[in-house]
Amino acid sequence: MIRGAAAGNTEDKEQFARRYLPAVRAYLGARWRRGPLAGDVDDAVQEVFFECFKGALERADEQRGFRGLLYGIARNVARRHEERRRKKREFQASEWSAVPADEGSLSAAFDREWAQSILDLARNRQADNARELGVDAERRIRLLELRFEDGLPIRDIARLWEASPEHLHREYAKARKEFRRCLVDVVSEHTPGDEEAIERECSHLLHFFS
Amino acid sequence: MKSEELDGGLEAAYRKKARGDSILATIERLTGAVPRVFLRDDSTLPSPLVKPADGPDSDRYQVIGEIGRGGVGVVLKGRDIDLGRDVAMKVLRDDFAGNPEVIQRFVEEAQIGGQLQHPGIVPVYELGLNAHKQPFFTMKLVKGETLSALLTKRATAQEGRRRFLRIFEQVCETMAYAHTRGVIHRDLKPSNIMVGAFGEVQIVDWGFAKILRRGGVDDERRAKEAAPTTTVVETIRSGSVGSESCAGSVMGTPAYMPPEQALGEIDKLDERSDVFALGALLCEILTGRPPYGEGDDSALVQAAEARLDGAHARLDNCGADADLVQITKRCLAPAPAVRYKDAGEVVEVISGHLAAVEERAQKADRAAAVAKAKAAEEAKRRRLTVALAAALVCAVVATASGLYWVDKEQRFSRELALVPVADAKDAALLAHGEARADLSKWGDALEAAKHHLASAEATEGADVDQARMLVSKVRRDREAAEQAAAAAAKDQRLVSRLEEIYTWRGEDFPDDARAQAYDKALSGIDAESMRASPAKAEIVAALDDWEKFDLASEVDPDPWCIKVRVAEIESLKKLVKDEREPRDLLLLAARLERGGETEAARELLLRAHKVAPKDFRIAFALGAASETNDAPRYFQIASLLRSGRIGTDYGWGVSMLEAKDMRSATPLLESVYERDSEFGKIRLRLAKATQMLGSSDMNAGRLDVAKTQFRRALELDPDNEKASIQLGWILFRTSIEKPDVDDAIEAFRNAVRLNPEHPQWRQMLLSHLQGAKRGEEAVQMAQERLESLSESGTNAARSMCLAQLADSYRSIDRNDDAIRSLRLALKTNGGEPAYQDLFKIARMYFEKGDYAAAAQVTREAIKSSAAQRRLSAYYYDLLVMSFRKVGRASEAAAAIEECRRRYEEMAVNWSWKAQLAWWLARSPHPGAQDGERALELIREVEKEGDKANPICVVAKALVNVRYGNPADSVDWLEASMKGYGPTHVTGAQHRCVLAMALWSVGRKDDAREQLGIVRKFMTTWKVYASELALHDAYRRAREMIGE
Repeated sequence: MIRGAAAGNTEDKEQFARRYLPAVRAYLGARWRRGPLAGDVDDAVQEVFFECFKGALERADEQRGFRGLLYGIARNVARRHEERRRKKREFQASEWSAVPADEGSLSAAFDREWAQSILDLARNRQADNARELGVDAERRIRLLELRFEDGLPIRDIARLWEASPEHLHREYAKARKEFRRCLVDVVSEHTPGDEEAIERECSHLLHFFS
Repeated sequence: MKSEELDGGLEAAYRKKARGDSILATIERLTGAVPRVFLRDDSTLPSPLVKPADGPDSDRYQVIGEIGRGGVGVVLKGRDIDLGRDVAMKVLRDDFAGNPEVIQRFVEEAQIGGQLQHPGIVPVYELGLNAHKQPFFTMKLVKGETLSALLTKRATAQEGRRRFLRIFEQVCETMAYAHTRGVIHRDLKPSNIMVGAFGEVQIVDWGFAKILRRGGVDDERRAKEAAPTTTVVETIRSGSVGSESCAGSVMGTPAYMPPEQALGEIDKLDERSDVFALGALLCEILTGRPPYGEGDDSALVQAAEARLDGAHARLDNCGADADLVQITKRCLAPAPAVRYKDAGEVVEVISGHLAAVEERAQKADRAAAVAKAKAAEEAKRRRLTVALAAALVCAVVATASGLYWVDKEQRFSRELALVPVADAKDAALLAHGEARADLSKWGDALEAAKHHLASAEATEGADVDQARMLVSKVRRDREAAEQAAAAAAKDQRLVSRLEEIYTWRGEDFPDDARAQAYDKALSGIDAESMRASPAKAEIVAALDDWEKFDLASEVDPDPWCIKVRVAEIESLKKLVKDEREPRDLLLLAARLERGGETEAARELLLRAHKVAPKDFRIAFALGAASETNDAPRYFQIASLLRSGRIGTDYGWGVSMLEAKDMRSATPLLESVYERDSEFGKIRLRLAKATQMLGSSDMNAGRLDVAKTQFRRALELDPDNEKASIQLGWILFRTSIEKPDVDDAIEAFRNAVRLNPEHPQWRQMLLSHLQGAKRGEEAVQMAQERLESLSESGTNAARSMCLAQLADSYRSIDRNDDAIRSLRLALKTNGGEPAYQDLFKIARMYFEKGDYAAAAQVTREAIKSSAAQRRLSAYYYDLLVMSFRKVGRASEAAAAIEECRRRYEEMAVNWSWKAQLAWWLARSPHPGAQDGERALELIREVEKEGDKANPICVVAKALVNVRYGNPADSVDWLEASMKGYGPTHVTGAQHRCVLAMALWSVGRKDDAREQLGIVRKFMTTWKVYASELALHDAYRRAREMIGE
């Protein structure tokens, strides 16, 4: 998809923008919150994607992984906006005290939203797979939804479905495995490296939510 | 990847849907981060969820399951996504969703629950509309068991009677509060009383409640009209036979119903009807069953005929104290006039009874101990005298047997005459005992003793001296008891006063006022009396708070405390780890806080609170020392410990205001204001809360409500700038036909007068003056301001003022002056003109008819904005129109293509696609393929995007009206008009579109009316010639409608 977007494929470009917009917006939002540039977030997000489609994506290589590249583009665009703003007449030194200097906390905002995007992809992947695998797999998706979206314990779901809790616990374990597999697949598509590197990246993403 | 990590990931992935468009999602979009905390569950009691439900989620609440359902409502368990807490949500049943009467009663129920602020009443959090526009309200989710369930679990009616009487006392206290607020419940019964894990008692289901005196509603009439055939249950938790609540001709629950309610005599229902239900509740506690429900006839028939014989018989044999049985019978009296007049009176008698029982129990313990000691002594003595006693008994028996037969008849007659005297003595002793437990009964006791004396004096052989002694003893005891009670009441008043003064903390209360109040409260009490006083601990705490450390040390000479009172801050810090009593820690915390060690002070208070959770002073101090979000919790605890205290309510209300919980803060502060309108800074605080509430209503589109709130805020605090400016803003928008221009401008002027340095206030005033065609005044104001800044102002301030002057000139068509002022503004600030400034200059050229200059400057603006990847169709519109005006058609066509190309380049997600569609639909220069492309874009946007997003809906409506089926968008356009004021340019433009859509679907009168509103706007408001999109839409609407 990234290569397709880099090559100018409209569908891939659309998918690309949909997928990574939250992470870019989170980063810029955190960087400019309460500051004079808070109203420029939308423009800057647009600019980040503009730059991606104008050639930056071609620089995505096997070594760095895509997350680092997108983060770098977002940071550069943010800096350009700030520089531009400094030259403008509205600039007042005091306004800038609100811009956090700590790049670490900004990258954490980006990473967290990035992690959420990857988990969403894993969920979608699991749902796609389930449609192919059949009714039982789809029921397992519903089980995860009730467990995590509605916060119901397995025993309550068993009562609701009039199923034995033991059976549902087995299904639940299977559903978790399926999700894990999807997550590893999605992460490996975004991150270069061997199995160990993928596993490390998965842990890194999940620590935002544990 | 560990298992718990995966759990977190699964939750994040599968919780996604719940994020929706909640406040947190919005915050997340704005700030890039979202706060989420989840506290440990506060109770091990089972959640009341009975089954999952498909209830409609609102934006903020996620439905988890159903708790129960009644005649008109369903109670769901929901989760507040933003605050991460579970709530109970009450929604209307679908079949009543279209019934305005039922909806009105439903909303009233929420309002009653929201306004009754008492620990015994489940608080209503919010009233709202869900996605299907059905009203719902959320309440605290009460975890615990119903009183009905607890009563059912008893093996006998005697089991746990004391505990249930305590619960009953709390129910009466809650109802006493409701009665003072003019509310009667009308459906009190055990299943409507929840008992929590920590003994807290709450009355639920105020669905049948009625407001007395201040009007309210004619509920039965409305219920009859709403559901003439319905006789179903309106209760969350169904009870036993006869405990269903009937909605329809008679509302309430027959087993607990007074006769006037069962007979449907609604005019006669008042507080005494609830008193009857309280009696029925007490009857069930004492005898195991409510008064009605036995026998063949229905409970309703029995209630209507007041068949209470069975209940009375059960009460007489239940083994309870006679006075308790008497209280119950009086509550259950068929005639309301015989009953206690309200729940407050029931509280008094029940509390008195419980206090007497308590005292009796203590006395019995003491008597048992004394009797045991006496018995031991007696046994010892008896052993020494037993032989002598035996001989004596033999002699007496011999003599007596000789006399017995002779004296038998006389003795029998004397004993018979003494019986009434003995009865009178027993009654006097009993009354004496009761009076010792209840001060109000001393009069009865004295009467009984006098009666005994009179009886003794009239009877030969009676012990008159003993009767006299009893009378004088009763008198003495009465005097002593009254003196003790007066002293205790005085002590209690002193304690209450000292605690009240303690709550005057922070910047809202001047220190000297506190000092004077303490001085007055403690005047005339010397150190010795303080030491001897039962209120010594509170007096010492007050002295420490007052910083009268010498006197405090004299009264409480504890060495550690003395050290704390005199030590320097560094020495104090070394004492924080000492193990001391909670009150000692409170003293140390106060000293540390005054020394600036706020964090250490807070930690100490937390420690103290943990050990003494019911200590009012510690809870209050903790509230005052806590962070914004924690403070309300501790103030609430303090408030629960001392309910109704004005200072506590004030602290709690202010803390909620600071935590931005205006909906909870406002009624509480309002109640403080009602009690004392000069308390602390109640006016300012209430004004701020009301203004913030108004802002919230304004943002939600409830403009009329907001207007009232702002007026109220200004009435409380005429210097509230925000209320003034927001009121002005609203006055412009609340009436389409005739905006309150003069009032609105006066409100803006008031805000500027209050804060002349606030640039935004001035800007609002000037722009509205300009729009209202009062540009001359605006020019004069801007010039005066510029003059005042000529010496002292900064360049930035002068620049801004020049820009405002430029706008004012422009509004009176002095465009040359306007351009000159704007350029001077840019020069004064020393920066390059931004693209927005350039565009404004271009518009001014256009408005004065210099189209070539307009085209040139617009081109510059576009070039400048392109550097920021910003797209604005307005710029291209102006460029195209300027080219056309000077006959440069090919350049105009090229500009259109350029605009189209730039939009297409960026249209990679739904948001930008919607923007492109919007441009195509409103473009004054449509291309041949524009219609097809716009419709295609809308289809894609609907597939991918957020359908409720304003960009999507407006784009869809405009495209439909211009190229598709206008009927699809009429509803939305009509609804959207509510969001625009009469002076809104975009609103006028959309109104033109609405007029065209209405015309297209055949609603011709409505179309003409909408066009009429726009015409009025175009003539009364300053509409610039460069508002091309509006002029174009107006022209097309007029052409279509034929004007």
